[in-house]
Amino acid sequence: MPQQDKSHTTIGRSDYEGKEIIPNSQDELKEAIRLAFDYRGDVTLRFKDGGSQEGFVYNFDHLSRVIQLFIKEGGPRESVPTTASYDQVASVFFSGADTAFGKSWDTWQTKSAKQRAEETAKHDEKAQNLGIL
Amino acid sequence: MPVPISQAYTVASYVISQKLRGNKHYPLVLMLEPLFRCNLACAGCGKIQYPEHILNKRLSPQQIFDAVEECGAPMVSIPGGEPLIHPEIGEIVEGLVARKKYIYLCTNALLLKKKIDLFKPSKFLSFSIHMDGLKEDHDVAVCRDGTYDTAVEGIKEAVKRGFRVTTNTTLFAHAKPENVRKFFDDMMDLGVEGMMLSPGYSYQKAPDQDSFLGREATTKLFGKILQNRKKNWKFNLSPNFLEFLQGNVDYECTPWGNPTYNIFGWQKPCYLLQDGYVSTFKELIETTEWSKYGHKSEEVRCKDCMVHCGYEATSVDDTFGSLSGFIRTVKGTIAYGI
Repeated sequence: MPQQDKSHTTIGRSDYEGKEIIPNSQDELKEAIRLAFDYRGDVTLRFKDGGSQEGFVYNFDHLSRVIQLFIKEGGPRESVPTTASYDQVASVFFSGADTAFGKSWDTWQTKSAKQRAEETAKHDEKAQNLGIL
Repeated sequence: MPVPISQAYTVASYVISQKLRGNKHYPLVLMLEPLFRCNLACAGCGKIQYPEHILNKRLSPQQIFDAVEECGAPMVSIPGGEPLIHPEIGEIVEGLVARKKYIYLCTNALLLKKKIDLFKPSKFLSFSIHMDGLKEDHDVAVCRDGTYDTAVEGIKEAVKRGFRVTTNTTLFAHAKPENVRKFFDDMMDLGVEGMMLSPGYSYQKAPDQDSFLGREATTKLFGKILQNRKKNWKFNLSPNFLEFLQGNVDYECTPWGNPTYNIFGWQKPCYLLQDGYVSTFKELIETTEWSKYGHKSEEVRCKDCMVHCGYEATSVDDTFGSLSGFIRTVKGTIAYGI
């Protein structure tokens, strides 16, 4: 089992994928933002003024009430850093796929040899297309 | 001796100078993650589980040089992702060598033969090859057949060209001491300078708790692996850390010893935990509530951790922190041939 020492938690993420949290209190807002930070996929922050931003939340600070995220911009595979204020947020929608879900060692072990070979071949093909293998 | 004398001297003089200045929170090894993209997809590895737009991000050479200067640590470890994917990795390493930093370039070696011409042998540069055991163990660990053989070819090529080469190995509960000992023999036969070892880290919520090592299991496993050790085994670790892994000495974590910098900034509090990011190293040191972390703290995520990124710095600090620590180091150096 490689690099589990580096492993972010990989269970429970599917519990949030596709769901939206509409906080009713400051505590619920803080928890929603913490979950967004913990989530290994893009989230959509929906704002009180009707606007929204979709991106990857990589940092938050309960004291300064600032959320930092990379929002998609400049191309489908590119993004730029930006910030949002806690006070703007009306809801947190877990809109992107949870990239950590199903990637645990435990899950890998339950797969058949054929499934493993197929996944490896798929990854190799992608890596070769990216020129990194 | 697996570490060049100049490196040992640099590290020793650095630590002593920090202690003379009364600086408790000094960094020893900067963990520099220039990207998260990898060409392997090891099951359970969380470092690469990000959306595509995050995987496409790279730290620029200038960002890296600025971070290295700001941090001031004498050693820089470059994990990832797979750093050899970074298009400017040659320039990055060259710049770090010019700054006289001792670099451990951590790689799975799949691209090593292809990219090796980007680098020049130097006492400041060591390829740290990810090897999780014998062929069957390693290939299963990285979920890809043939990876061990490719890594071995990379090691041979790097050794032949005069590069410093080390290995880094993470061990879990299912590790068989006899296999690990055979693996050590094989690595030494390949001509590696030294081997790094660490127990895997046990995240509280990780699904496969059976594979993670608690403290007692860790000390038992490493005790079996390292008993009657062969004279030709060389470890790229502090002898005190090896004693710690066997339960012969008790240490507390030094999470600031291996600070982590990546595309998100300086990671709080350590390489393993992600509790947020700050934009400067100074801020990391000054605003992190260090007392909240470590084996003796209330933090459950730290309870079973004995990983080198938290305890190697403690081991080195112990060498220069007390006479008993220094004596322990001298004895260990003789015993382990370090």
